[in-house]
Amino acid sequence: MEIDKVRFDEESMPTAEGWSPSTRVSPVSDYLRNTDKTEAELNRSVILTTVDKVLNQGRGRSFWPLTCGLACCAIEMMASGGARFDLARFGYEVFRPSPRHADLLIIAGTITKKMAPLLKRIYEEMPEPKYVIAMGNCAVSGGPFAGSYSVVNGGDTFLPVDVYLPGCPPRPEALFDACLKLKDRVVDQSVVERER
Amino acid sequence: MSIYDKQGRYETPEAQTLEELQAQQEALAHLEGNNDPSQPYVVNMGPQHPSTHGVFRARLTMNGEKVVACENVCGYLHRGIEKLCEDKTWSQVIPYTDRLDYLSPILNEWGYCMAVEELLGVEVPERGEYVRVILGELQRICHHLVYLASMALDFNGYTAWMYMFREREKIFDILEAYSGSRMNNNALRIGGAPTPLPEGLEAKIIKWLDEFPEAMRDFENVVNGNEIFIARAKDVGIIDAEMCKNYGIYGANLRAAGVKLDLRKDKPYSVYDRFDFEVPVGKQGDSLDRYLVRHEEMAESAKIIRQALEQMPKEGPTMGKVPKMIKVPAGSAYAQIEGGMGWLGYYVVSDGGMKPYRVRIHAPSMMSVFALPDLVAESDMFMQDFVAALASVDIVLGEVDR
Amino acid sequence: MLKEQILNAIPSLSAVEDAHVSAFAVAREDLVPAIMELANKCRYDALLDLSVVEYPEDMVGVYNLMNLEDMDMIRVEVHFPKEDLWLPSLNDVFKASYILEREMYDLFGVNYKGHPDLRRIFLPDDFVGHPLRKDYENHIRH
Repeated sequence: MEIDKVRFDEESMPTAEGWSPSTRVSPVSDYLRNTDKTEAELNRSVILTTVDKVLNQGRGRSFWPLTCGLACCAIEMMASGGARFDLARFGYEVFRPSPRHADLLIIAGTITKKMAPLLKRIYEEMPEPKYVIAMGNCAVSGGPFAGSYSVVNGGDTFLPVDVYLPGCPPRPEALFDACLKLKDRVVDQSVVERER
Repeated sequence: MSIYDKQGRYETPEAQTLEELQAQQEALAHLEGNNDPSQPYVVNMGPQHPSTHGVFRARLTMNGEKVVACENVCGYLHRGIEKLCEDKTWSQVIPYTDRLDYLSPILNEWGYCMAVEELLGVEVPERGEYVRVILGELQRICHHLVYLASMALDFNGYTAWMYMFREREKIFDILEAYSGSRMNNNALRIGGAPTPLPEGLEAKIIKWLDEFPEAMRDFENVVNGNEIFIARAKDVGIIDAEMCKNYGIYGANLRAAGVKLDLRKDKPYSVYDRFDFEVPVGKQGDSLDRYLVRHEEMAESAKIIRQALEQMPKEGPTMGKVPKMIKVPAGSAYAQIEGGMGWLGYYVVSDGGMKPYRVRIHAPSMMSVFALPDLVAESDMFMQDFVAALASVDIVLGEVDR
Repeated sequence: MLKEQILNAIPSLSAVEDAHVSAFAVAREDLVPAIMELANKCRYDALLDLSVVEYPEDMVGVYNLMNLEDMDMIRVEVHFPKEDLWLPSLNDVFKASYILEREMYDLFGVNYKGHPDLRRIFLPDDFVGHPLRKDYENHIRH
């Protein structure tokens, strides 16, 4: 976890005469920096960061998935919320039936041409920021039914998918892996990924 | 002139002439003197809904809290399985049949394999039949567990759902040991079962069977005697025997209506005539009966599994004499099995080639779900009664829509 | 009931060769009376399945019926030409045929005369074509 720290530089410290509102440091810290012990204590127990990064940490660890189970993968999604594989230990157990309350759309199952416009509408009804996991081979690419006259070949033909999760159906542990990958993506939103 | 403007909003423009004023009064006259201020309105119990057990849409016409009429709109999971089967070889169709009733895949495979074996003239050896029975009954218990859990969950019994899904995980361990997959296990083949039960699996099944009655007691304690559950399920959504026969509903729903008809007992297929088990029968066909019938059927399935494990021959092949590339002689056959929801039927037509000419799948849950509009029209249902009735007729959209 | 008994009881049925089950053929015009007689006289009153199969020369409507007392199953076939796609509806005899006929209309385009509400059931309303016909091709990437 990266922590931003404001450095107590000599150049950016305000003096009594030269203080202007454009400097970032307040007069309180001007007083505090005079004691080394306080600085050490501050370094140890205070984290200075941006509000966005705190919110990202919070959001990534508490997705509210939408109950949008279409087919067989929905049963594995339900099993992952069950007692053996417990989705609650990651913080993702609050499944909401209404898209207005949810922020994670797990497309679990085959998307048919009749269902696709409704799925798009459900996605549009979700408030920002929202994420999409395509769970199962059918949502990734059409799966065993790809090419059928009534099946849409994957969720990414009409929705922006963040994480692709193959499997037919994927195990609940695989669903956890996908959720955690999404958490990493939400927490650190850089376009170019670092090596881990 | 209409009191609704072009977008259907209730708007009365200003009347310019006496005729227009009189016309407006006439249009609104139906509301006057009407003591009941409510008008029927249409509510979509839409495809994305926690209580529709899949992507099923019911257009309900409601008058206040009462459901006056219901129209089913299906097809949100229509994947064209019947057409896809015509492009694949006979064995490649088996994974497609898995995904019909995705709660009990092995029972679906069994029906298809039976139809093709009838056309091929292949006899499944005894050991293979016993393996099929054991796996099939385990899957029947899986199916009934999800049914009971979903119905309890619709009545907000989250604890029951947790208990039943925990039990289901134990069965998944057994099925994964045999077929490699928890769900959609491609476990059966045309001609029998691919392998006998692996080493140690029998002991595992017997251990699970010994623990299952206690789990069933847990379910009973949480659900069966629960006052709220009984109040919401008793005398709700009564589908009697006459209605069942009219709509082609067989299986557990017909048994809940009081008719003792079970394909495993009355027209035994495979080795079902060698087992001693009972067929639970309900009284009047309301939602509580349908729930209790399936609850008891789980105990009977456990009995069958135990007997099958004892009777299964320890040696012998599990697959009949079937060539590697299956070519089925021309003809057609209809095979039906007692699935989790009713009589699942397969009408298979062959033209003598390597691929099926036509695979027609008769889905019992489609017949059940289309009895709902008439059920709603006949009886006095509140919204919660509709949810209870829909949950209790046991639909799985993979099968309804194929 | 044996095949001969049924053939004697209902003259409009003709026998069809089948090694597995008793199968009969009937003309399109005699379908509804024959099915009603099968249901009333011979007690084959359970409609198991209703389907349509397309052969190269013609189409066949297939009705699988069952006698719940003997647990005996029979099959009734109706041949009709592809150029003249209609069959009489069994809606008055079996309520179960309401949806099954809608499904056959949706997938094959067979018009069931006498059906109260014949429209698409599985496919969207603006879908063009009847997919299960043999000349309709799926676009599967092999």
